[in-house]
Amino acid sequence: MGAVFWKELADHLGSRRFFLLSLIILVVAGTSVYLGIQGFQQNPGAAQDFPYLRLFTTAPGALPSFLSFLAFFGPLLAVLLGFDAVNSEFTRGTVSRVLAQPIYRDAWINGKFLAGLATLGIVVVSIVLLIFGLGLFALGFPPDGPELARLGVFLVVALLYLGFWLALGILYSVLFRSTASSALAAVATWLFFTLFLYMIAGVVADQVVPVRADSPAEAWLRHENLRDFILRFSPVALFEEATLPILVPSYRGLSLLALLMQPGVPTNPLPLGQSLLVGWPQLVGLLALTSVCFAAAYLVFMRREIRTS
Amino acid sequence: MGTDLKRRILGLLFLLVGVGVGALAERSFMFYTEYPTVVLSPDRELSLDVILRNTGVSSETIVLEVAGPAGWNARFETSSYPVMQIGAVHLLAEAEKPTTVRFKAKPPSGARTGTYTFTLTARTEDGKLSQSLPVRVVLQATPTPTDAEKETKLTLSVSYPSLENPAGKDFTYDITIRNEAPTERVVNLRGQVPFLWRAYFTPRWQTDTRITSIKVGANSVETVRFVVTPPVGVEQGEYPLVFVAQADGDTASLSLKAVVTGTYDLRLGTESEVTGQGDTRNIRATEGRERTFTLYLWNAGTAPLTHLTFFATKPAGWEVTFVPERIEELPPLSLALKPEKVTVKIKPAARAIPGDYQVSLVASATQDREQMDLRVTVAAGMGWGWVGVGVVVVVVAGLTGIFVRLGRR
Repeated sequence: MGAVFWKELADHLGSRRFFLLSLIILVVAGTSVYLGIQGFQQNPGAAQDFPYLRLFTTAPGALPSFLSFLAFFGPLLAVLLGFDAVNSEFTRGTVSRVLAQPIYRDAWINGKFLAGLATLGIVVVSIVLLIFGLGLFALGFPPDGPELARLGVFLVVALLYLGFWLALGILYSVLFRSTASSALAAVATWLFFTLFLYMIAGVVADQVVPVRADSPAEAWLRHENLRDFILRFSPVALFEEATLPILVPSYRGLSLLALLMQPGVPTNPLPLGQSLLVGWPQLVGLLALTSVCFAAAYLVFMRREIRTS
Repeated sequence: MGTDLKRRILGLLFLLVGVGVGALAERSFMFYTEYPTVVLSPDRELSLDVILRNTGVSSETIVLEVAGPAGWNARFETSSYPVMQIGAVHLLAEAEKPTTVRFKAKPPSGARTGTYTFTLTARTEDGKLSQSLPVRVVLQATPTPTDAEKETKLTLSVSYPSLENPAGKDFTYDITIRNEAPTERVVNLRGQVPFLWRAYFTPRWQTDTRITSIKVGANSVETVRFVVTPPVGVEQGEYPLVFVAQADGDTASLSLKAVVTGTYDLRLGTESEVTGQGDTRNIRATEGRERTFTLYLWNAGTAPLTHLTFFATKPAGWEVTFVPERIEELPPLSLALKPEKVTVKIKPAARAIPGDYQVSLVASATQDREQMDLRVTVAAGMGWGWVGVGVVVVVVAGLTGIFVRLGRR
C-alpha cells in the first residue's frame, strides 16, 4: 500500500493540476488576508478578540470569506483529484498490470484515496499556513493557544469534508467506465448540493408549511425545522454548520432558535469543547457521509471484475 | 290742582332766572398767580408763572399789559419751549387746563433794595372784561444763607456700590449726579482706581461715547456710567474705587468696591501646540511597546487650581500612566509663566491590532476639568513580522520545490 500511496502522491503533486491549484491557493490566501487586515484597520477595537479566526471568517467587500470559498470550491478541487482515479486505469488498460503485482486489491484503492487526501491536506495546510504567516506579518503578534487549537480542529474538519468529495469522486470513477461521465456526474452532484438543494429546501418548506408574516411561532418553527432537515442532507450545509462554532467562538446556536434567543444570549466566547459540542452532530454526519461514500467505492471496486473481457 | 299749577309756574320762573344768570356769566376769565409777592436778589431775574383760565362760554383773546417801575424790562413770555415774548393769549372756551404764561422782569443794575409793585393787566380784546393783578417784588441785597448752601451742593448716589465679577470682566457702576444748585453746571468726572486698573465714563445710554465731564441742569439729575477695567491677571480680592465729581470748586466723592473673583481655566496641550515641534495629537506607537508623551498643562484663569489628578480612558489591555500622578497646585499662567509638564507613558496592548485607537487624557482639578483626545496609530511589531515572512517563504518554497522535483519525472 505504501508504494501505491507514494506513487499516487507523486503523480498528484507533479501534475499541472496541482500547479494550477497552488496558484489559486496563493491568490485566495493573499487577497483574503489583505482585505481582512484592511477591515481590521478600519475599526481595530471591534476585532480585538480572536483576530486570526476572523481572518478566515470575515468577508470584506465583494469577496467571500475564506470559509465560504472553501465550502464552495473545495469540493471541486477534491472531485478533480478523484473522478478519474480508477476508470482511467481501466481505459488505459493498466489495471490488470498493477493488480498483477503482489499487492492486495484493497491496498490499491486505499492508497489512491490516501494519496488524494494527502494532496488535499498539503493544499489546505499550505493555505492556512500562508494566511497565518501573512497575518503574523500584518498583525505583529502570534495567535494564542485557543486560536491555534481551533485552527487545528478546523483543518481536520476541512480535510474530512474534502475527503467526502474525494471519496465521491472515486466512487463515481468506480461506477462509471468512462472518465467523462464520472466527471459530469461528480460536477452534477456538486452543483446539486451547493446550489439546488438550497433552493429545493426553501421551496419544499414553503409548500409543506406555508408561512406568512403573521403566522404563529409554531408554524415558523416547523418551517425552519423542515428546511434545516432537508438542507442537512447536503455535506456543504453540514460543513458550514460544523465549522461556524469552531471559527466563531461566540457562536452558540443554530437556525431559528439562535435568532429568537439572540437578545437573551450572552456573547462571550465559548471554550473549544463547548463549541465542538454545538457543531458535534454535523461533525458526526460529515464523518459518516465520508465513510459511507468511501465504503461504497471500496465495496464496488472489490467486487468489480477487472479482467478485460 | 291749584298748588300743582303754582309749582309749575314757580319752576318756570326759576328756569328763567337761571338762564338770566347764565347770560350774565357768559363771558369771564380768571387771571392770577400763585405767588403774588416774591423776594429777589438784585443780580437775578424775576420769573413768575401767571395763570389764565377761560371760565366763560366763548373763546377770548386776552391782551396782556404790564405797568411798573421803569428799566426792569418787564415782559410776558411763553412758559413752554421755545421761549417767546408775547402780548396776547387766546383762551379757548371752557378749556379744562389753564394757560400759563411767564412774567419776567430783571432788576436794572444799581436798583435799590425795597419793594416794587408791578400791575399786570389782562383784558379782552373788546375791552369789556378786564382784570388786574398786582405783583410785589421785594428786592433784597444779600441772599439767604440757605440759598448759599444749596448753590454749592452736589450729591452722588449709586444703587450698587459693591460689585462682584470674575477676573477679566469690567465693573460698571451707574452713578446718579444730582446738581442741587439753581444753575446748570458742568461736572468733571474722575475715578481713583488701583494701580494698572483703567477707568472711563460714558453717558448711561451711549456706551460707545467716552466722556470726562457732563452738563447737569439746575436742580436736576444725570446718570453716568463708570466703567472700570481690571488689569489682565488680576488677583482675586476686594479693590476700593473712588468716584469723584467736581463742579465749580465743589467736590463730591463716592466710595465704591470691586470684588474680583478668580477664574479657573485648565488647558491641555501637546508638545507641538506649545513649542511648535514634537508630538501632535496624533501619535504613533508599537504594540506592546511603551512610549512617552509629554502633556503640557497650564492654568489660563486667575486663581490657582488645586489637587490635579489624571486618568485616561483607553482601549482594553492598554496601560497609560502619568508621571507625576498628581499636582497639588497649578498657579495661573500669568504667575507661573510656563506650562507644567506631565509625562504620559502609553503602552498599547501586546495583542493590539494595527490601526487607529483613541486615548482620552483627562486632567481634573477641584475647580476645573479638561480632556484631550489622542489618536494613537499602532503599528505592528516587526519581531513576529519576520517570523510571518519566514512562514510564507517556507510555504511557497515548499510548494515550488515539490512541483519542480516531482514534475520532472
